[in-house]
Amino acid sequence: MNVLIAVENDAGLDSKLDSRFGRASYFLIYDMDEEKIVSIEENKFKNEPSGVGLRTASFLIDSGCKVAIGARPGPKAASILNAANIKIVTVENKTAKEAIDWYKQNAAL
Amino acid sequence: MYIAVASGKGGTGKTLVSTNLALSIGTCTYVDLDVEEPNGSIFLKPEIEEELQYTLPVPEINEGVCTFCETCAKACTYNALAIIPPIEKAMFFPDLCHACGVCTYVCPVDGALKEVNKEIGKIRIGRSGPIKFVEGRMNVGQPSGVPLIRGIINRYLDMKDLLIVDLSPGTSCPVVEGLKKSDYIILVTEPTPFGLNDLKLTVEIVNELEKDAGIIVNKDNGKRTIIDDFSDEANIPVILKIPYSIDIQRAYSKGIPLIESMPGIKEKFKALIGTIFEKNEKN
Repeated sequence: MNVLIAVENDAGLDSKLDSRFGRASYFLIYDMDEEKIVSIEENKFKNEPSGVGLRTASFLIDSGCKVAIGARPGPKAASILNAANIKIVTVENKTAKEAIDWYKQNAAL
Repeated sequence: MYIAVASGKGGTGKTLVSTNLALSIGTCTYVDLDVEEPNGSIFLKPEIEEELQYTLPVPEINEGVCTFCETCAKACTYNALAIIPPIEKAMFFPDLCHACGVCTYVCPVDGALKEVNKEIGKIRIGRSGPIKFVEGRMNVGQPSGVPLIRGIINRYLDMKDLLIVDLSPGTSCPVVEGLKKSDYIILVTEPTPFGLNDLKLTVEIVNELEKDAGIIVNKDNGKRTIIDDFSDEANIPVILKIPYSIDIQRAYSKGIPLIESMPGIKEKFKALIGTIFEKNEKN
């Protein structure tokens, strides 16, 4: 199963989580089963004036990820993710690796 | 002629000036474009003849017919549409929509997307004696007053009339929209650092739009102030000073117009309009 992590830069698992979800700088897609990075993509919608969270949510859905890990998405993005049954996991002040470990331990939540 | 009354800082006296200008002139149109909180009617007490809904065309998607091709969502500059093919869902976010019509235009499926009218505010039209009264009132929760302001200016005003247009405070989009078609801008300020700061910001817009303007100093203390200094620097004349007076404030708080509480002001306002007309003719 793939998860999407909203991160600050393209350094991989050592990247810190971005303080924003929709306007995060990069998206790291991680395969939880194979335990490896699938891709790291730059968020090209980051600087649009409005509706960025919606673009991010659409990107998430297209990517096939089932879980979104990172800062809390805004209400519009959240409504789309909820409609698409994507689990939102809000974590702060961690690196991507730490967030993945935290999610593994707390997956039941 | 379109005379806009702006300020920058709120509470300097735009409505005081615009309503009393209208009362002094008589045959003119008072337009309240402070659509988030129109208050001119408190002082002019108009008889309302018409109350209209103002609407904008927005998309409505029929999920039963929609093929979730995402063409509309990709075409929308404002990201107001989200299409989710895996769960066959089409979502529309009205507060991001600018009613531009592109989504309706590009949708390739007959009947999937239609335009419906969404009310964003109301327009009231009436009279107060010889004064024609037009007021815009935005619905609570709307993200922007600009479409309503633009709609009133383009469709509900007769540009041949003498228009006294009361704007909202500030220097952002609603004010700019209200200034665009003006022939002259009256800038109402007060002799305080806040008043001056926001006056300077408004003057930047006035200059950008290349409009003729004059400053009215309200709550004046009778001496030379920082506004006079700025007026010289910026080459925008001070055309009137209204003194700071508890009596005027008391009367205002009861809805009593300045022309009743301050003797001589009516003649000054009339003279002001005369000067503005002369200047306009020269240009």
